[in-house]
Amino acid sequence: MVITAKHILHSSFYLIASLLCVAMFFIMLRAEYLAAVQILVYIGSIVVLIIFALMLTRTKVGDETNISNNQKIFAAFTAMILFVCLTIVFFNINLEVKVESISKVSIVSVKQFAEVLFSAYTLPFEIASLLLLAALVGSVVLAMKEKTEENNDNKKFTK
Amino acid sequence: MQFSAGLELKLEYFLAIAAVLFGIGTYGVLTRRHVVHILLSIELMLNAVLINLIAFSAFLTPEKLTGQMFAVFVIVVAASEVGVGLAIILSIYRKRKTVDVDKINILKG
Amino acid sequence: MSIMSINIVYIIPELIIAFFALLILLLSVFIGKKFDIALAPISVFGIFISLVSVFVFNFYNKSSVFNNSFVVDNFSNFFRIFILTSSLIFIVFTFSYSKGSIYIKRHLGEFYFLILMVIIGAMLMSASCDLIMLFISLELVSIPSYILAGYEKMNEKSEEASLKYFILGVLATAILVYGFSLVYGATGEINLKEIARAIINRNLLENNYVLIIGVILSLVGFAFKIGAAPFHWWAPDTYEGAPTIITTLITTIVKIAAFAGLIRFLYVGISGFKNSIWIVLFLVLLSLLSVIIGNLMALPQKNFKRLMAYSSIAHAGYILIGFSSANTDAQFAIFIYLLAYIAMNLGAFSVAMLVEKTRHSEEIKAFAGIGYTNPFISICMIIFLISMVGLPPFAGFLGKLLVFKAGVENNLTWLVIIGVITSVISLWYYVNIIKHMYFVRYEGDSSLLKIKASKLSVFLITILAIFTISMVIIPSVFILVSRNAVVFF
Repeated sequence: MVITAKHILHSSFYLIASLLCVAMFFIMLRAEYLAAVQILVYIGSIVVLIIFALMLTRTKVGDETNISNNQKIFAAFTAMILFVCLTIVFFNINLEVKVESISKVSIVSVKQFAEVLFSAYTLPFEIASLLLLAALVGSVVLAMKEKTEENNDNKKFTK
Repeated sequence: MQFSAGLELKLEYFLAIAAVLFGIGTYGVLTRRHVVHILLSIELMLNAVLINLIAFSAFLTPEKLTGQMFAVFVIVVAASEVGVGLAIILSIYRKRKTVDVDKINILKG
Repeated sequence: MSIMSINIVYIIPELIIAFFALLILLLSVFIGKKFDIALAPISVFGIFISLVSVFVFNFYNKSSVFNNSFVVDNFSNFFRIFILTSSLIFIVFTFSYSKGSIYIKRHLGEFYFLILMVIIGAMLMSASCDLIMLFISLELVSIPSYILAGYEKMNEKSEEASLKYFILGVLATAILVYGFSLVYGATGEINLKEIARAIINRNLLENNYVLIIGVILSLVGFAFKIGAAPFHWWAPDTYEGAPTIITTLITTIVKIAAFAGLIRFLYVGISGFKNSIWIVLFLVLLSLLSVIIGNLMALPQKNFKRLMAYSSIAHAGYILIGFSSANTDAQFAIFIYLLAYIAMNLGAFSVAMLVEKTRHSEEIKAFAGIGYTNPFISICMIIFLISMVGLPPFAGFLGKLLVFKAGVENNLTWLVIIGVITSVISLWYYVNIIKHMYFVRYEGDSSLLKIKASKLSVFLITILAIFTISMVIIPSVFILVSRNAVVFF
């Protein structure tokens, strides 16, 4: 639905629905903290950001007639092959499953989660902060409206 | 907290759902023309990754939480990618008034 | 807490660069335009200190820290030195290039900040030893480079380059991380060494297709980033559209970083990948297609940057021939090839930047006649170009020789023969540039006849040219260095 909806705004709402479903899966898989993160970060910010962008770029309201290009068959073929291969492989191979049933898995508390994150994974955590900073600075630079007059800019910088 | 009353939830089911999502995402990326649409499809693919990671984490390494940690970083990266992507789209839109990939073709491959 | 303070010693080079990056960002915000002139020297200084600190703190102090996710071994130390040295040269070129571009000048602080971020990412990449670190440092390399590609905002080409790079890069990331998740699922580990152990213990490469599909999907992701053939669409457009200085960054540092990650992933993680026919087949296919497509598509190109894009696709193909074998010989062949590649690419692009700065054109035609007006630069350019073909007295020859040798030893003689034939084809388009330099009259404004070159850039071009020659004249030194460099912890 996300990809077939004619109107792009609709498809972003469908994305919210599927993200919520994914969050449900997380709860089933006993990852409740991540489910919360999923809802907050994905739905709360990513999708909202996308909708904002749609508003800013004033996408044509109404149905677009031709939303897809002419690679449909090839694309469907690729996607089917991927899916079929993966599924066949998943159902035929014995992964070394330690826990037979999900009901035996205990729920991960936030405290446990934080202990692991800040002991074993400190370095990636720090790098992630750099990454976010770089992305932030970069998007500001890119999305900033440019004045063609130089002096206008100068006033802003050299106060 | 019994979710699996009749049906026993197995690892394979989650992986299959992830594979479906990944396939849909791939299809979307390859066919859509609107840039934001492509971005949405890529989000679907990343969600497939998240399901995979968390399912593996729950079934394979329930005490070490490695998959969940990985998932957190995937979410971080996804967020920053969307931010950057929308900035690029915005600045392209300002000049061309279109966000259709097939029309953005000054550079011919 | 005491454990932490010891660990920090190992990431000091990265920390220094991060410190300088933030310093530049803050200074450019609070002091503003007046400060711009000092930004490049500060970054050069930062990189230099970081380079020194690699020697001081890490060289004799090998270890694996942060829950074994970060290793300081010969490989990462040599790669750090390698990356830092080339970025030192790169930043000096930036200094003269940025004067000519309004938009880079307007956001100069952020420009250097993003470049330093790419450098940190590249350094971390070579030292990372688990999937999370590999993934996140690859992102730290790519996200700033998406932005940098679109830095010339009024130039529609640059924006388009950025968009294409971004979409395909993000797609590559998604595929890569899906592959990583399957690798994790098949082995239950994310640490590369643990993965290798699990594979050996449980003999996973023979029958576990989850692992094999995972590895292949990860390779697809890496192939996007290094620009190997069936996944190369973004490369020509991005190279052409991006500001030339960023094209240089993408062909050199970003590509080297992706290769460093690939080497880690394949040789440390999936160390027995030779046993799986699928993975080897996939690698061979990648290199075959890259070599053929890269060289053939380069033939009709008229734009220098586009031509270099296809040429770098071809080079990626040659390097991948080396990956088809798993012994140390092949590893050091790859390392030598990368050294040669970075030297000659930096050199060729720096000459192109000088030409572009004076004549405002990136077409091959713009090179016309510089053989007579600027004899010295042209000779250096010839050295770089001939080295890219792989003819004897230059660095590219050594790289190709060793890579081909590794290929022959692994019964891939047919692939090597194709490699040699395509190298001969590549002679055509490289010589075409030389032909323009010497035998074609420049048809533009006669005031633009002589290329203006600052002393500093001529000096750096000379160094690169000397380096390119010396790799063949004294190969024993470089072979010794590379042999040491491919020792993993």
